[in-house]
Amino acid sequence: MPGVSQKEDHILLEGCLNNDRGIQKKLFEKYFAKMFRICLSYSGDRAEAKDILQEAFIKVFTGLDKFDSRGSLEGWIRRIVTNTAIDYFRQRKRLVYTATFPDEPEDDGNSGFLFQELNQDIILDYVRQLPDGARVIFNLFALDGLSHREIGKKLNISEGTSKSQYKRARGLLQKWLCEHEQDRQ
Amino acid sequence: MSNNAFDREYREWLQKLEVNKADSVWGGIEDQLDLIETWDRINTGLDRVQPQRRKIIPLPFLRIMEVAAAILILVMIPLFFLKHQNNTISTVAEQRIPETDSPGTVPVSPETATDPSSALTVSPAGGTAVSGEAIQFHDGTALPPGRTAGGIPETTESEKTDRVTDISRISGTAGMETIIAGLRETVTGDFTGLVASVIETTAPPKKSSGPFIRFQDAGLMYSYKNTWLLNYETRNGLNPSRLGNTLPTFHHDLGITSTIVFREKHDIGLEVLLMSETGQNYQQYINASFVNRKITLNYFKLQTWYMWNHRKIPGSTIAGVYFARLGMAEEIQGDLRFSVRDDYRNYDYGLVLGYRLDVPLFSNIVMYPGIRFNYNLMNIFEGHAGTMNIFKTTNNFTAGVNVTFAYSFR
Repeated sequence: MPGVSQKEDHILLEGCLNNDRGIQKKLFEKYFAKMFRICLSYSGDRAEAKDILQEAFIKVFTGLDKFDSRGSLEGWIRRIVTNTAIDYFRQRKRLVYTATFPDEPEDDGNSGFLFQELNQDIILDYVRQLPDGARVIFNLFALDGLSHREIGKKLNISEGTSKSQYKRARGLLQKWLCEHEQDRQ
Repeated sequence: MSNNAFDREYREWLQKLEVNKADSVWGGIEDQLDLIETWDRINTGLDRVQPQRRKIIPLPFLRIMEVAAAILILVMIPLFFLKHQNNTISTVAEQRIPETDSPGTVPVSPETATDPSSALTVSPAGGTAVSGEAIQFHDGTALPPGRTAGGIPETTESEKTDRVTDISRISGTAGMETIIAGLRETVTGDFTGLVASVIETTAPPKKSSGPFIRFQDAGLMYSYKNTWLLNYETRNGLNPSRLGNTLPTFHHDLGITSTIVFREKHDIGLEVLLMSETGQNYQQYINASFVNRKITLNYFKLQTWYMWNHRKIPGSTIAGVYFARLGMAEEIQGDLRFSVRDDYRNYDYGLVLGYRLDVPLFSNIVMYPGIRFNYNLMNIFEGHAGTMNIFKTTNNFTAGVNVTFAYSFR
């Protein structure tokens, strides 16, 4: 029930704005799992994901007064998490968009395997192996639903670069997972 | 959202991804928040000892104020000295009148001639003669030759010379009161016959009689002001540990103004502002990125005030009230522009306080430069159903410089 959730969010918000540490923890716990997954997807590394999440939630708590309560709190936190992740890589100068990948795959548009059957850590390991720039673009497109034009604007790259990086990241991930599946069989 | 099968499967997988216990991350966040909170307290403590240097009054505003002040000083100082010079010269000339042969009459008001407390008698500067001629009053009555307007006999040659010497010693900065006091001392009894000069004070002379009400002037007013929306967000933006900043904000006022005089004693200012803007600019972390946020409210405003004219220093202090009706309210967030008219109350009222100078320019045109402060007495923000209580109070304060160009009906 979105109405109940929104009301609950408002109670949490008021408490957070009054610097009530208990309420802040409640808000954190409510959104932790969802946000942590996003961080994991952007980074592929649990320790790094925790760092990003921590940074993001500090921004959430210190910037809650800027949240327009008419909007969705989850959406607002999610945007902060995403932007914090991008900033995290940007600050470490890791957002490099390589023109070619070591073993560029063919994208047939068919995954040919089931994600659910694979070990989570193995998938995460492959996600982590993706170049940072390509991984961020893949997440922005596949996970956050941004268009290539929006991604280009956000990351200061051309639309074409965004498209090619996304395709290559997806293809590479697909290839690695297929190979893993074949080896396993 | 991408419809690609791989992307879809990836999203589904991510949603089911197991995550570790939250506590370890919370510990880090809590530590950080504690650090920020502790730093806030230290900062507040430091502020008490040594106020933090923040650019609350921004440089452009100060520059404008400096330029305005410099112009005012440049205009006022020559005017001030010129007036005193004229007054001294014309008074001295008046003392020497018996020695000259200028024809004409001294139009001295009978009221002032018989009222020793009145400092001023009026005639064209330098164009007067008393000795040996009748003094003609406005109402047609006249004094016989050899009599001054005050009814005392003409003074001797040596007495006149003494008066001239005395008056010449009075410096320009002493003010008109000093000159008049000197004349009072020099002349025993009624002195009004001795003074016949053009004396303009910045404050028009008050009379006890006259029409009940009259319009003294009317003109156009323009104001450039620093505005503050006093609310939670503004205060937060001034806190260095918070995301975002409160930015200095400037707006304009434009309207018509008039001064009404009651019983020739009380000056009331009346102003209709067709455009009176206020608002606040921020740089805020909205939607997970920093954007410039501008809130602008435009009011139709009526304000009225009482004016206290100063005798010793030029200008008048004003204090009054205003009543305003909201016309437009909009917010700009980055590239987005939208109306927030429904979030603000339709009406507003508050106090006006200020100071203004009277600078006669030419003919009947007068310039009134001044400073003005406005503070509203009610909460102007209504918000909407989802607005939290903490955001629901907003007051408004403005401080700025203004200039009025008016036509004087006198």
